[in-house]
Amino acid sequence: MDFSKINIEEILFPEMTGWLLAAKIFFVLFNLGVIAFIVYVWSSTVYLRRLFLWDLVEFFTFRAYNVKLIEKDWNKIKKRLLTQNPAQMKLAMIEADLLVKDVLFRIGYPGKDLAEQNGLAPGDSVRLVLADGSTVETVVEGVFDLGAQAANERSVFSGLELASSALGRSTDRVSAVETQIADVFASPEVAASLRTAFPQLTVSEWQAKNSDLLTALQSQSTSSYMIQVFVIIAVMLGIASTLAISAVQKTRQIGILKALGMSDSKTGLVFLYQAGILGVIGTLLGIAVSLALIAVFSSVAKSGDSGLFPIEPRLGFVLLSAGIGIAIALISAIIPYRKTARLDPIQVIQGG
Amino acid sequence: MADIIAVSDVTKEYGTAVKTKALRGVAFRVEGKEFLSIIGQSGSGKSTLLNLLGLLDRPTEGTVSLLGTDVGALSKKERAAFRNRYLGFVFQFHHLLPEFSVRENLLIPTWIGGSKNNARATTETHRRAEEILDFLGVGQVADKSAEQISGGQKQRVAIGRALMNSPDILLADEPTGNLDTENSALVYDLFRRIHNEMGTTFVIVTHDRAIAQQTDRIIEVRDGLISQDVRNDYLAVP
Repeated sequence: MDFSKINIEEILFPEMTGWLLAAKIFFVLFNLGVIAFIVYVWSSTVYLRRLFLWDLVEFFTFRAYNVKLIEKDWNKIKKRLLTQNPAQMKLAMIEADLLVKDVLFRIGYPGKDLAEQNGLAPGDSVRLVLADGSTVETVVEGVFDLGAQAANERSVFSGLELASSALGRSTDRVSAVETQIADVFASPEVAASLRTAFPQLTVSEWQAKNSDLLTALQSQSTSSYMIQVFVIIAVMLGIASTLAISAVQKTRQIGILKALGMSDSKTGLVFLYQAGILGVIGTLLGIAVSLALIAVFSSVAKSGDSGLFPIEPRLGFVLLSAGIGIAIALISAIIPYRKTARLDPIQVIQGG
Repeated sequence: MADIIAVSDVTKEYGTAVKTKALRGVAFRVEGKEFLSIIGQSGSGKSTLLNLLGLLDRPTEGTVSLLGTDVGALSKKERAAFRNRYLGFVFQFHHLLPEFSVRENLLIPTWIGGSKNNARATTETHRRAEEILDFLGVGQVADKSAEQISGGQKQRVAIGRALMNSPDILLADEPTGNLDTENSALVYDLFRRIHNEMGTTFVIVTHDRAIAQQTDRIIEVRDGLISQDVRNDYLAVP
């Protein structure tokens, strides 16, 4: 017997071969498209791309990433020190400080704030050196976490008297007042009302000063929504195809059950239940895996004790996602539901 | 008392552009609990007639009444419920579900009828399943998978499944067509015992004249028409 001539699908589903092949080709192309899209989005995300490149370079060169760059920077610093020029030496100190911070950050010891980097704790005495070379002695009262590494490294809060005396200004004058608002995206309206109330002041708000950042955030949100939509479509097609194949495979059983008196709606319910079970199990697994990935990502991408990109799963959002997941699974059952409803038991009985 | 089966001027056409008449004005009645066979050549229309009697299809014209009910007037859902409650089917191929055990295959018609959600009904149907399995001589394989038993046993289990809801009419479509001589005789004997002991009306569709000749009444279908409808008296001959 020439087995190469036997097409197993033609034997199992003689009438389905044509559209099953078309469906397979469609799903393969669709999945390739989704994978290509995910790779594109991933590669356009700077942070992940950078980590990937680091790993790749270290793997092939057998040495820590950017050692050459550090050597170059270090040589530059040494050159500045050798000039014996105070300005160049100050610059060398700043660059050396940045270099050390950069290296520490890369190997996982970033130091989240000034206090940590300088080994300070509440109650310690500290001497601040100002730009003009003058110094101020004070005591650390507390350590703040502003939730941003750059701000934690560069910000010191003090009473107005200390700041004024250090800078040689009177206590009834301030150069700027910064304020925090509950709804960060309401800043244009708040700024407008402040301008009306205090016309003599220059009022600026963060959105106007960071339009590039806003555009980037909006692009990121759009990409995120697009990925979500594609994932939902992929999941829906995946479940629908699984159920459709299941419906084809169970044609004989469904036909027999119908011949024995099972109604169309009850046979369709079998697939609705199957879709519901798939949806619930898939959703629970999805939530568990997502929470685990968030935990892993938060532990990897962090600065000191706080995450660089803190993600806090909210119960409402998790429940909404679960609802969408189960609803998608149930919607996916419509095609097999209709297919089984139309199945004629006579075809099955006479088919043997 | 209403007829068990009343078929009046039934025609059945297939196709839309080119129409084929499978039945052309068939009429017959089954007044009491009979043991009859429908015979005919392949393509004569006998299976079409059985499908109409089994509520698996609707006639193009004419009426089919079963147990006094004009089944043509029933909705699809009502027809399914009627089929489950009053009719039993035995097919040429046993059509057992391989995912279930022999006992579970017997219980399927009762599950479809809704007994699974009723504890008392469940106990009764389990007891009935045991009785039927013993009656059919397959009690020893009750817990085996439907795939693990022989062809003859499978057909006996299929007969048991048809009997589970105590049907008034049992429809059999070439029930011995897939069996050897020994098992064919066994199946026929079982049918006769069920008819005698339970009073079930049997309609057996077959092209095997040897089987048909053992039934009490023979209806022959030829080219979509009943060519003969005769009482078989030979059983009464001493």
